[in-house]
Amino acid sequence: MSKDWRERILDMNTQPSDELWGRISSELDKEAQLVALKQQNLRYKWMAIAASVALLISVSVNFVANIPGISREELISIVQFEPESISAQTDSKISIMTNSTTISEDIPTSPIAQNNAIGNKTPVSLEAAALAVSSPPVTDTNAAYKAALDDIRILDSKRNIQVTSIGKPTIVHTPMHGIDYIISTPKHAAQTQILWAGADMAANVVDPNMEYAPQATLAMAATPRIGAFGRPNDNIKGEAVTLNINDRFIPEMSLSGGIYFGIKLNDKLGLRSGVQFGTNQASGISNATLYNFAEDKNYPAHTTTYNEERNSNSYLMLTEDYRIINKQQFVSIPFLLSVKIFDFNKLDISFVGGASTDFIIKNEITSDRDDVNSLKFGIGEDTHYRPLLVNATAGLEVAYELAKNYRMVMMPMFRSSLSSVTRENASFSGAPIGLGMNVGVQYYF
Amino acid sequence: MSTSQDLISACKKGDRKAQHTLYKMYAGKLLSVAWRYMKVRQEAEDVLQESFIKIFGKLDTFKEESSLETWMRRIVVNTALNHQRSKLYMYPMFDITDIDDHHIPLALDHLAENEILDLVNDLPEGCRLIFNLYAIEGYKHKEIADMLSINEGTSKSQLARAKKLLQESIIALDRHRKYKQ
Repeated sequence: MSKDWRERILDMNTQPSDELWGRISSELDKEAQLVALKQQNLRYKWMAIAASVALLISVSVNFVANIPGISREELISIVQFEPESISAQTDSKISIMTNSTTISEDIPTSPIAQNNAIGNKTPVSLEAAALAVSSPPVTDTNAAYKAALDDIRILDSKRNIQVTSIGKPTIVHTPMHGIDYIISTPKHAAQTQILWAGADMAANVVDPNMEYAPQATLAMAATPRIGAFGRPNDNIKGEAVTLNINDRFIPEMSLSGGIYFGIKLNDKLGLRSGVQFGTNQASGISNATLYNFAEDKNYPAHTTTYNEERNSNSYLMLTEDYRIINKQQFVSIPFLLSVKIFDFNKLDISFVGGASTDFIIKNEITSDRDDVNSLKFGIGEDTHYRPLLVNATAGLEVAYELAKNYRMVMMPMFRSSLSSVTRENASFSGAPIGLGMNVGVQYYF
Repeated sequence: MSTSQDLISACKKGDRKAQHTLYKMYAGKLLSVAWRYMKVRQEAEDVLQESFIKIFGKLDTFKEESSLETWMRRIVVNTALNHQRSKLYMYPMFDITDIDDHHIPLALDHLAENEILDLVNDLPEGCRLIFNLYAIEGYKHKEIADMLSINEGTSKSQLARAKKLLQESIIALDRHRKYKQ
């Protein structure tokens, strides 16, 4: 084919009708309007979606209805005792290295002391009928000596001696005063006893015949005794720990913060959601008692057998008080409805209520003592803890317009978990209740 | 014809005066293109109107790999083909294998443009489209096959058929002229 005819065709120029440009121009105007409208709609849409964007930093005090996430059984495993350092031991003397000093004790060789070394801590003065019952410590001792032994647990107690008379079934309760130290480590123990009858002994003798009272008095006279014993390593066969914690933890103030996005439904109603990171925190005072058994046993805490046997066949160590802190960290996604109640010039007050889902991301128990280890509990199917809590939330938002598009927001809020932090099969439960003050700056379009 | 960058930039920004200038520069040529596909002038103007809306709307995507005119011409052809697509369905194109394209002489040079267009317009719909795309616009058979969703063989055979029909028309036209003389 020749190029000529083709080029002539391609170069053909046909003038369009005069009104064509008018139609195109009009169409372009419509297109431009449509684009503008779309952009405007998009802007309105974003304005609607982001009717309020608030960055809120909240300070909240969480009142915990029950101890969240703590059971005695599980707490036991957090108690770890630092072993004392035995610097030297001979047949007759034991030296125990503490942080501040070295304590040397003679190891007694008397039959009575050897007997005690097995674990019998019954007061020796009334061996036939006495049963020792611990009571809270009342007797102060040499402060310097206590300080030196600070790193070794000291049991400092007064014992009430219960006397059962022989021959007649008359029971005489005679308070017994004295000092009874058991200095005990997982491997060694030393005991010092000085007991004497109290002045009120005579008054408390209720045996009408007074037949056995003199015997008791004589026994008291024979009581004073100072001794110490070393405990051979192989006598410790089992151990158990019990914890003495306050029944209820004390709620503590914790910080939480988050970002909220809101949609304005109309002049009065709004929806908002977002993400908030927060903590439920509570603390309690605790101490622990470690029982070392002379027999080959390993008791779980708080079993009947253990409770029966621990008084007659064990050494015990009492730790000093320490503070246990339970922290539950969560990521919360709230769904809230706001209803404007008052609309003043620059001041708005709204009711805010709804629900929030808390995803528990960490459950941690720590102590302020170095020798008590921290423990982190897992969250999930294989633990007692629920991974998700649903909270009911209500609050009052007071917003003040600081500048164009900026508002200062204060919002006291109450939140209560609708379920326990633990599952149904757990031996403990607790539903955190929080009262907080949210303070933040809100930017709105 | 070249178009200044300033004019293109102004058109991209929606400057109506610049758009009008661009329209005036190319509307005549592009209407001729549209007319070859649409047969009826009014339909060709509709295609041109739609094409210019597209051109101004898509000017941002114009890359200077080809000339602006080539780019705009392509838009017009595609717009026209979109309008023709429903008609193409009515004229299914079959592979014609018994026509040998190379043995058909095509003597159009001695004819005027209007005479050529009249002859082309008289072609059956499928042949006319392929002839326009291949012989005039310069598309390859592969491109045409893609544009019209047909086989490459169909494009070739339709072109051969168009050329055969055109040649017959040219001969008839020449006879008619001689008879008149």
